[in-house]
Amino acid sequence: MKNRIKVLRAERDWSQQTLAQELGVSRQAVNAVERGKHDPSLQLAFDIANIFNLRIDDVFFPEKKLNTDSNEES
Amino acid sequence: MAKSKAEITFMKRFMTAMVVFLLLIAIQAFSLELLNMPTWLNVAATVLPVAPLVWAFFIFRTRYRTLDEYMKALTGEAFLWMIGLLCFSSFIYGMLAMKFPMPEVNLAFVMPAVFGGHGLIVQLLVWRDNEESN
Repeated sequence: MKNRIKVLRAERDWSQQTLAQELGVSRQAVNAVERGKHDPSLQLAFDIANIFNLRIDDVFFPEKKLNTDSNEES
Repeated sequence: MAKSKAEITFMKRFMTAMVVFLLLIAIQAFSLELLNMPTWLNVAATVLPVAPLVWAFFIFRTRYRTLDEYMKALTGEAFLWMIGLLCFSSFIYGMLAMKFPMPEVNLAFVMPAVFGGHGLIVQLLVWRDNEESN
């Protein structure tokens, strides 16, 4: 799962440690989520979105969009 | 980097358990060598140091439950590595022991090796994570 955490952090001039403290998780957790190495739980994803005052799908989006529309049409 | 309150509490309790363990080892050695006790007391004195280790295990479990989801995943991965290492090394040892004379291994060393190895692997995984992010 991709995300915009790094950009959102940079906009607020927050370090990974600052965000981790806000979320109550380790810096390693923020780092892993940010790099797409770890898919966060739904709760953590909501927490991250809430910290940035955004909706969850404004922060996280899938790696590849499934091309189901064209299959349904054919 | 400042340690969290949970980390400090964990370290204090864990180190206390280790100090109690060392004290009981000393008591065990003293009582077995110098006192003439009945067999059941000798057995009790021999296994007495296990108690603080069980306590340390529960301290670690409490600490594990306070970890965030990613650190839990890393800790779990480290356990998988350690179980793999233990199983493969004991299997290799057993296979060799069937065919060749092998040095004796005291089973009492397995537990500290596993727990110590696990702690080391967790640190390695965290270090690798930090290296990848730089």
